[in-house]
Amino acid sequence: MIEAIALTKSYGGTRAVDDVTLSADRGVIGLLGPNGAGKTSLLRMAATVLAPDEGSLRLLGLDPGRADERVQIRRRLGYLPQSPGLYPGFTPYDMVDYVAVLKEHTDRERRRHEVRRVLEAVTLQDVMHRKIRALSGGMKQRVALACALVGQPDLLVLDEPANGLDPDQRLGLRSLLSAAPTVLMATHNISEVSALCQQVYVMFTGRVRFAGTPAELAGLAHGRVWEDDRQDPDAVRSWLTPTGSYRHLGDPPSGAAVVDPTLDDGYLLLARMEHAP
Amino acid sequence: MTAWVLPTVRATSWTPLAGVAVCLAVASALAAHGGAWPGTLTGVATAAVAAAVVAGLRDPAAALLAAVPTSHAVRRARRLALLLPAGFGLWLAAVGGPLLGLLALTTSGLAVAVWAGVPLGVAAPVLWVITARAVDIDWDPRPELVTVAAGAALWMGRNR
Ligand SMILES: Nc1ncnc2c1ncn2[C@@H]1O[C@H](COP(=O)(O)OP(=O)(O)O)[C@@H](O)[C@H]1O
Ligand SMILES: [Mg+2]
Repeated sequence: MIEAIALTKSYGGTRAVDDVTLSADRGVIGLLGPNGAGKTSLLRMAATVLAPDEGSLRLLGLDPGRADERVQIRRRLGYLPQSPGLYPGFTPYDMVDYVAVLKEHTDRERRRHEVRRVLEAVTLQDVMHRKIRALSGGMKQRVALACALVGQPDLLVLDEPANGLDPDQRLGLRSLLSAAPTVLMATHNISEVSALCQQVYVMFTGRVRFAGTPAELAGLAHGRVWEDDRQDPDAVRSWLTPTGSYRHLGDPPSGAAVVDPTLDDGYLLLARMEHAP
Repeated sequence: MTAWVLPTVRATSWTPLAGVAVCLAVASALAAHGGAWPGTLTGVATAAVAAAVVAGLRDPAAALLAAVPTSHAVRRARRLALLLPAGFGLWLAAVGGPLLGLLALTTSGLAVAVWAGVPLGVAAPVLWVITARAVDIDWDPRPELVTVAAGAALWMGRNR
């Protein structure tokens, strides 16, 4: 579905994406990393919006660098950008309907059904005839998500889709995503990754520093997480937990109470190694 | 009617053209009062209409629509199919005269917009006319040549 080899993209002197190789077939693929890591730039390439400087990219078996194949990819693609602007004077129904027109849904009756289907999928049916300018941030985000879902795309590219959603809506998003064949998604939400993703990529400063399953990412911290009533100054990271004890990351002292790592532990340890190599 | 027409009309930014229309209406009323449209203002009025047409291309939903199969070039062409007649109609009603000067300024603004972004494209015709007045040269010396050159630049940048 997505086959990226040695992708590179620079803006002026900044290498936003640096030699990234990524392959994804079915399921939800999560992209983690701090702000500025290059997630958005990578997703824009995966959405045919940005052309890579170097490397090879194939989406749905097609080459996005060729105009004719790019259109074929776009017919089977749904893209949610990080900051999706909308027309404030449109209603959610108008907005999604316009996107459906641009996605070549020419039959009026079928388009009407599809627009209603996606608006119901993001539970906006009650406000679909209100002006977008009067909607909350979470509602606007769901309008944009509905636009990405039009036409049941084979490939969904989503840039921080849970932005502005409340816990209940996040849960709704999970069931939506498990219905799509292939989803590539950037997120800051690690619990989203453990709940949804078959594969996870972690990026730092343009490069992929980890590729594997969520369990493997958590496994990076195996034997390197321990808890103690007192804070250990030698730990690379430590924080107070609700139980009143300190959770530590790093090389445990002998006799320490080592505990099972979570995905957060694996990610934090990886980030730490990145900053202090 | 084709399905894209109505939403494109609604998605297009009409505020700049409407603003210029109001200004031109006021200026025309004043000119009628004073006898004639002041010749020195023709260039500025023409540049304002050209800039307003270019400004109509501003699209707040551009990021969301970036990956739909209907290309950016087609969506821009559809907007221009609406903006150009409106702008030219306004100019004929308020200023009048041969259209070639307006055509040259508008095409230049559109070419700049395509290559360097809408804000610069809006600024280009206005800056040109103001500069021409400041250094006291004709603002439309060879409009047909400018139109052809800018049209070529616009065509070459159509997929940008
Ligand atoms: N259009 C742009 N022009 C210049 N620099 C950019 C542009 N987009 C992104 N960058 C830079 O590229 C790097 C990666 O950014 P981005 O892909 O947005 O990362 P992320 O989504 O992980 O926060 C950052 O250093 C950012 O400043
Ligand atoms: Mg980003």
